Amino acid sequence: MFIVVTLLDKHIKEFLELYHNFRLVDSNRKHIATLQGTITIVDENNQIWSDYDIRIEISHAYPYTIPSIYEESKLIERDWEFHISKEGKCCLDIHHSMLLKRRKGISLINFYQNVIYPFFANHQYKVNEGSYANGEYKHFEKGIIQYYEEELDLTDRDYILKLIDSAILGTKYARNNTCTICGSPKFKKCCLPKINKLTLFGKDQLKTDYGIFASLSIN
Amino acid sequence: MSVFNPYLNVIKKAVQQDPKLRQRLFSAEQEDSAFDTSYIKALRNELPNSKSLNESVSLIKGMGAPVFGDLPELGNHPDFKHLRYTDETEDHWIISGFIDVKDSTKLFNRFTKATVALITEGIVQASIFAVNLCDGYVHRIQGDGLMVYFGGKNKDKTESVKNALKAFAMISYFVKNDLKDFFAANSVTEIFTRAGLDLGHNSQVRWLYSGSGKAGEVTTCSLHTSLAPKMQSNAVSNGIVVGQNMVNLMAIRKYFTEKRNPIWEYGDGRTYSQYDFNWDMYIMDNGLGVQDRYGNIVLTMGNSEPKQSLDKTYLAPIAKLNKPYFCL
Repeated sequence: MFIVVTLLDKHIKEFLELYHNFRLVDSNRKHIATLQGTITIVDENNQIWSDYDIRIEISHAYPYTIPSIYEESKLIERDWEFHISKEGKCCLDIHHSMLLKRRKGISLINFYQNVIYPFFANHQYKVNEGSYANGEYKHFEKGIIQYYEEELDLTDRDYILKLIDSAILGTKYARNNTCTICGSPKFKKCCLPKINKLTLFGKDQLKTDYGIFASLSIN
Repeated sequence: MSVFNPYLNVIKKAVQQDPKLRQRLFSAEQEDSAFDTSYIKALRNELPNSKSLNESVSLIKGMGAPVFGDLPELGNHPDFKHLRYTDETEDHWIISGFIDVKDSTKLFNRFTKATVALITEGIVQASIFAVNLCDGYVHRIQGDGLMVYFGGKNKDKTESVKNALKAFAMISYFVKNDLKDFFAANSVTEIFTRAGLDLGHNSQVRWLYSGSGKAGEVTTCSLHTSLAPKMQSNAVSNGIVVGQNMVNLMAIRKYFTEKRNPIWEYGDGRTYSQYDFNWDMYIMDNGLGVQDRYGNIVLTMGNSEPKQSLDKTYLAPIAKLNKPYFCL
């Protein structure tokens, strides 16, 4: 019998060989692989902060997917201030950041070390210090506006709408011509890089973003 | 605080104060006698004594940890010391273990021999601590290596197997993690342990006094005592190889991977297998350690309760990688 070993199988095996507190509990349900285990928050001075029991669900679209993380030990208060649903699903980061990761493809171990683990470390930080170490995104639409401000350096709503519109439509402009959006002499040096960056979020997210910024313009 | 910190701290001081290391960039090769190494004696006195050993033990929870008195003398196992100076023998099961530090000779290229001696002494004493903590007995010290026994009269064989695995896992952890991190940070060549362990049953082990007059020791004559150093030589860096008899007593086999070649052929078609022991998995499964973000083990010996006062300075770099958003 010929057994196909997928990239997900391979990466789960490598993950379980490295992290002994996790186990594979289900690999077939609705095309989702489920890992369960305990994550211990140990800081850079080997101080132990806390343990969380978590569940990691990974779609078989791996590596072009974002795993869902559930906190099962209920150590995180089920309150939106802690970025967690009533069912324990953790909001690890803003959609846009996750979409970029998904587009590029993730590696399970890298995702655990740089996304999952820091989320729980940051919860410990908030519990002990009263706020998150690196701030947090505001809820819902305000968080997306904040992302455009902080990560893309975009604050002008009308300008943002034009950029998003161009990204959605995929309008082709000559790179060396005058920019029709901002009027600068060369399109390739002003708005093109920004449009290219927005395009990476995909049309669905851009349409959502457009709606958010458009409603702000009306108001 | 790690149970091995008292040893690590002395080794750190010895390395940092070593005159040969400090001057190597500025001077030609010099004899050790050109350096003042009088500080070494004071450092040596900082290695834990019985009293401070017990302070380390008090950090450990759930181990059934013994209180250290005077450690038993070498070459005279307490349960078989009646054989000393006699020609009597006794058959009794025992676990024999060998562990040593490989590539430690390279240390002579970097340090004065006084420092090398103290580094070696620190590792040996840390190993003796681990062995005694796990109810083992140090039979012989061979430079930077140890020959040890686990088990004896009125002891449970399976528990002794677990204790032997635990002690050797602790020593391997100390050299692979605590020492390696420090040496790497100071550009010191990597050193590592190799270990072998095997169990001989009652019919396979003979205890006797070997030697002449006072020049002798109470020791074992057993195929399995002889196989342990052979297994040690087959271990990978920081690896522990154990014999079939030990694996047979363990209910959980996932920690052991059979090596392709058996360690012994009896000559009648039967063979005796050797196994690589996944000691970091064993440490984790038995609650003796936790893993950090990168999977590195932090030895807790079962005492992983968070401390009352934690310094956020060391948590912040990890926490800052996250910026949460409520999106559901």
